[in-house]
Amino acid sequence: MLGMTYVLIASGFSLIYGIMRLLNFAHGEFYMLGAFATYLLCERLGLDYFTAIALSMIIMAILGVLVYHLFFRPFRDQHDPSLVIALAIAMLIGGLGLLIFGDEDKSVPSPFPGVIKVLGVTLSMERIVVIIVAIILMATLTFYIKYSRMGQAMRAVSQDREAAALQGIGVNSTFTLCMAISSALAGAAGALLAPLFFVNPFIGMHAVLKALIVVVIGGLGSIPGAIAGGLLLGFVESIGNTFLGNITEMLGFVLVMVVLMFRPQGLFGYE
Amino acid sequence: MTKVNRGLWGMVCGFFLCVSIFLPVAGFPATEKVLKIGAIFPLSGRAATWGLAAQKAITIKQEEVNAKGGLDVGGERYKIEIIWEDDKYNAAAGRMAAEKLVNRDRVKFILGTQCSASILAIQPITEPNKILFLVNSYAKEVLSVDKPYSFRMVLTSNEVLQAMYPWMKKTYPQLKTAALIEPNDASGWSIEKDCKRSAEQNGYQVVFSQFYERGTSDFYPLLNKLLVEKPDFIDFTGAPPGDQALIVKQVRELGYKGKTFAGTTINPVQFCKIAGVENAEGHINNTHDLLGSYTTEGQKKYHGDYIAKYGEPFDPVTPKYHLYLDILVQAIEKSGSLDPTVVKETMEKVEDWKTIFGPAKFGGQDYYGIKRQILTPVYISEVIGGKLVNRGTTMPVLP
Repeated sequence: MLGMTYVLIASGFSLIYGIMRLLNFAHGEFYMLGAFATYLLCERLGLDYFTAIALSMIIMAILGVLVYHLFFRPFRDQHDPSLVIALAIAMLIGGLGLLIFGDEDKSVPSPFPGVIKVLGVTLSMERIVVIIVAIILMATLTFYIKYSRMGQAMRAVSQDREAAALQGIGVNSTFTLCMAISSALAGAAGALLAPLFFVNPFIGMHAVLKALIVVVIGGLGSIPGAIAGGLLLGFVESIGNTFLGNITEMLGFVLVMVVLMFRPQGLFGYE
Repeated sequence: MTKVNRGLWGMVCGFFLCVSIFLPVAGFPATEKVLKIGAIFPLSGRAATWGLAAQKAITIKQEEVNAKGGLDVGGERYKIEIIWEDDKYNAAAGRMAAEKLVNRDRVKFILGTQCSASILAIQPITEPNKILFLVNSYAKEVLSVDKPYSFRMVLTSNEVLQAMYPWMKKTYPQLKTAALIEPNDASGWSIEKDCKRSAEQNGYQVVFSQFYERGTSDFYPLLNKLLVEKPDFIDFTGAPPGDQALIVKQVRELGYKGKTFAGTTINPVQFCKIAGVENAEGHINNTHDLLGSYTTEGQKKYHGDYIAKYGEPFDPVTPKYHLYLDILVQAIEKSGSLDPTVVKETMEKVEDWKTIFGPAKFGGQDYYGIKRQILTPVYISEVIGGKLVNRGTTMPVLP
């Protein structure tokens, strides 16, 4: 489940880089906002959990589009300013989150309480739901990018922006859609993990760090790479916690160094 | 830009410049004397629960003193102004905050922080400058003979566990083995040593001990390894409140039936919401329900002041932070001076501070090498049916 968590968070991050060539450090804050949206929709408005997930995704998609048009689009072809803007947005959203929601850890009641034992391994029902929903989301994303018209447009823009524009593909509209999908995925990750853990304005920072490790391992801009990288990191950390104990956290960075030494473009990245 | 526009911009900038220069001193009338006290706490980040709890308690005391006309220093009245700085629970930010307070704001007294690493980074500034530094964190190294201006204002895990473990032994004699989970940083390492020592001194066998990185949410891999050792209880004293609740939730999901234990305070409402009421049942902790038994008149007054200012629900994490300003105010008024060295000497001599917990004193000469550790009663409670039930109180015994 740890791996699927990372896959959900990293896939949107990788998508933005692949299409827009932007390291969106604010991605973790969309994850945080998705979790808060789910908390507010479930706890305050009393909506059922799956409706809350869907609405959280829509709200994050809209927010992502707004952020793109207000902040990223003016600096679209400028790498360094875009990075700074992304960091600034991350801090702004994090600060606003603290101001609006407060510092207290909040919780979303578990919609699937209880545990089951599978082959001697105890799994909580909510973790199984996370795994299933994450697989569905990843499969949907993969099929969409591979077979849909807009997915083809995204791949064309990622390969050669100017050539794609010459073919009549709207670069701005493609970027807008990419930002919407990526933000929706981050929101979905926050929504899915909110009942498992707790929700506070600081969860985005840790998420984006993990996302960065995953996409470097898997290959910047590669969705299959994000999936493989997320699962690999989750697996390594689980094994590390079980057998190596305290040094587990640095295993992710060791993995990054090893991958960069032998395959700098990442496991599934392009040279 | 035209001449008119330049002129206009000049006037606007000049206006804001004047406001920014004069606004900071506009807080108190020119005739009032003000004592500036620095406060460095984690006001954002994962540890903000603790930092903001401290801010609430200190503000209650500040307003109480100012409402009476301020501090009485040798017949002169000083209103208290607290300059709040956020160390984000890390050493670099704590150090920067201290440099600003000491060099720019020229404070002589600093209250803070819960982060051991931050305190250890701040002390090289406060000690040579003879700034009285009232600290919070649990690391033993924070107090020593070469840091005479640092006083610890809360019971550390060392003192709390010295009281709670004997209580556990007496109340649950069937428990024999312990597992320890602590965060992987200076605070966690120090607390783990205290937990291990207290456990072994009281006849428990520590069958598992592991650190985790702050920011971890999924404790399943660690807990699966822990459960192999079948501990009778799990101690996670150094973990922040949210992490404690997650550990309790996840260890119960994995089928653990033993006791959970932490020598720290919790907010029971928040704790049970995250962990689940059933999972939190029987959790032993160092929180005191001020509406329950063993409550002093001072604590009842504090409870009333808190509700009047912040409303319900009451945060039981806050009372211990009341000691900071309470004792500093008493020390300054007893010494009749704002010289940190004179106040320090007063704090060394007084054996009977009047606090909301009752009488308190500084101790720790044998254990820390210097008498700088506050000693107040230790409260023990259990979570029953989603609520705190007070189980007892005892004074810590320092080795």
